Amino acid sequence: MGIQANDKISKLIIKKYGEFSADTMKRYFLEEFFVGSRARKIDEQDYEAILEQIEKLASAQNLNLEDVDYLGFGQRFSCIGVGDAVIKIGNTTEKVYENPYRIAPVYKQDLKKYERFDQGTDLGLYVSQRAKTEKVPENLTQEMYNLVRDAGGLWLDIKEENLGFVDGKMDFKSIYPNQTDVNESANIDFPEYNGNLFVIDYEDMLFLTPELKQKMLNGEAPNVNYVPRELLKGDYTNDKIYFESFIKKSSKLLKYEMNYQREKGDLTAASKCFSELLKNERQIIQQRYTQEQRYRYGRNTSDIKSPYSIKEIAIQIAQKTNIKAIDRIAEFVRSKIQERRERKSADDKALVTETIDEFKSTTLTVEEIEVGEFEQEKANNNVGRDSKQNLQSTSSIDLEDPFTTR
Amino acid sequence: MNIKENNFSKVCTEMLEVFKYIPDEEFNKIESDFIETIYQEHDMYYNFKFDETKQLEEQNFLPETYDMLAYVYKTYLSNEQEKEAFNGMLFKDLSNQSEIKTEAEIEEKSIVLEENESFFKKIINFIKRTLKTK
Repeated sequence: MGIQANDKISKLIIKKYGEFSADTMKRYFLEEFFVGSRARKIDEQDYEAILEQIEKLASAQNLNLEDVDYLGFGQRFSCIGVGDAVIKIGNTTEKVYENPYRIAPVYKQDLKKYERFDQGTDLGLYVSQRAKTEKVPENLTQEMYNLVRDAGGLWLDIKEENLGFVDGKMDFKSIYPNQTDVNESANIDFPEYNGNLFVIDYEDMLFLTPELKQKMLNGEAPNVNYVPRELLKGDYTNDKIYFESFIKKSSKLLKYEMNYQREKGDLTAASKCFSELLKNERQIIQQRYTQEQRYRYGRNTSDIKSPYSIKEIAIQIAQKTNIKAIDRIAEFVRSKIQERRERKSADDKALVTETIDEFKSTTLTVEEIEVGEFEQEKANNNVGRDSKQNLQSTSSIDLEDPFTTR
Repeated sequence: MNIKENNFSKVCTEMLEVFKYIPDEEFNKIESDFIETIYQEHDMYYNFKFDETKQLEEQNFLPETYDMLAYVYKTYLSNEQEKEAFNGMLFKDLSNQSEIKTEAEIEEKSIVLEENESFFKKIINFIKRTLKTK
């Protein structure tokens, strides 16, 4: 019998060994506690390190060992709750990129190290703020996804269980005064976030900055999710990179992105998500059906016909409708398609106007051009510190507004 | 049977489910503008569950969804001959269901459809069977 999530560890120890003591606690951790889904055991040295942190955090909150909770295990970590703090034991990670939506660790300690890669992944111990993960409403996952997208990032591992509420943050500085280099700043000017909902995962959230892209290209960001090099090298927007690298490969991400774009009013982007989603779901359904048929009846793929063919049920359809109804629906559908086309073309026109307006605002006036020419002279004469910058901005004056010149 | 705006969005939700299940050769024939319009108009809060254990015709669709399926069949999936045969099978009016049910008409159609796909033979046989039992 393993440990159950959210149980007091002391209670489980009494159940197993009849009493709770330093000895039985150690036995319990060495025999029953395992790390992540690979079910790795910890050794005595690891236990001593974990115990030290449990004691430190418990004493800072006037708690004792009987108050320690087992919070369960995920793919990467097994978690222990000590009051408002959580100790995560799992695969060691590189520095965690900070952002306002995630609870990042405040303390990190290396545990077991393996000499060879095939012996296992090195273990690490992390301490962070504990969040209440129970009863997070489903709609909040979309809300968090939208927040991260609005801030220019992408939350990759969207799960309700990866979200938690934090009411009042614990002061870790007094417990770990010298711990400074656990995380890395994302170097982004994030919008202010005063919510109490946070992502509790240390990984799987990406904010692509030019610096991070460069690091990824140089192979200096091993902890960041993989993005194809050609996308990093090209002059692509983050939205395009996120879509091509992650969103379109996951039905879940496509659903969240589709809702996000719909809410934002970008129907073209939402439609794109929808098309990919439909493609993915169709593929899954068709493959599942084919496999099922092959397994059940040993049929060749070419012999398998879908039971969901519209053509095959034309007779039944004909019996349930009539010419007038079809004509009416045809008229209705045609008008909706037309409406959509007009709306799309209006949107496209608006986008072009917006782009031109934006372009106009960055295009220089005649006076500015003259100043630019003057600056060019200055640059030629090596006079003035900012002349090169001015020269660059005058280079755009060759472009013409295609609408006004026609 | 008039299609109402609010029902139209529900029909679209059901059609989106149908699109997930129909075979590639049918899906690829449907105009993408039509599919996108169905998506744009669908009711995201209408919870329709496609029952995978049932065939398409056994699903619990709204009546208007059959009108839409007929539209899809006529517009995108059938050739001229199939369209004609389909029109022949349709009840011109739900209250008057005898319009096409004459032996002569069916025989005439069967000549046209003789070399057509097997399912049209099924259609003719079905109609014949129906008439004989009356």
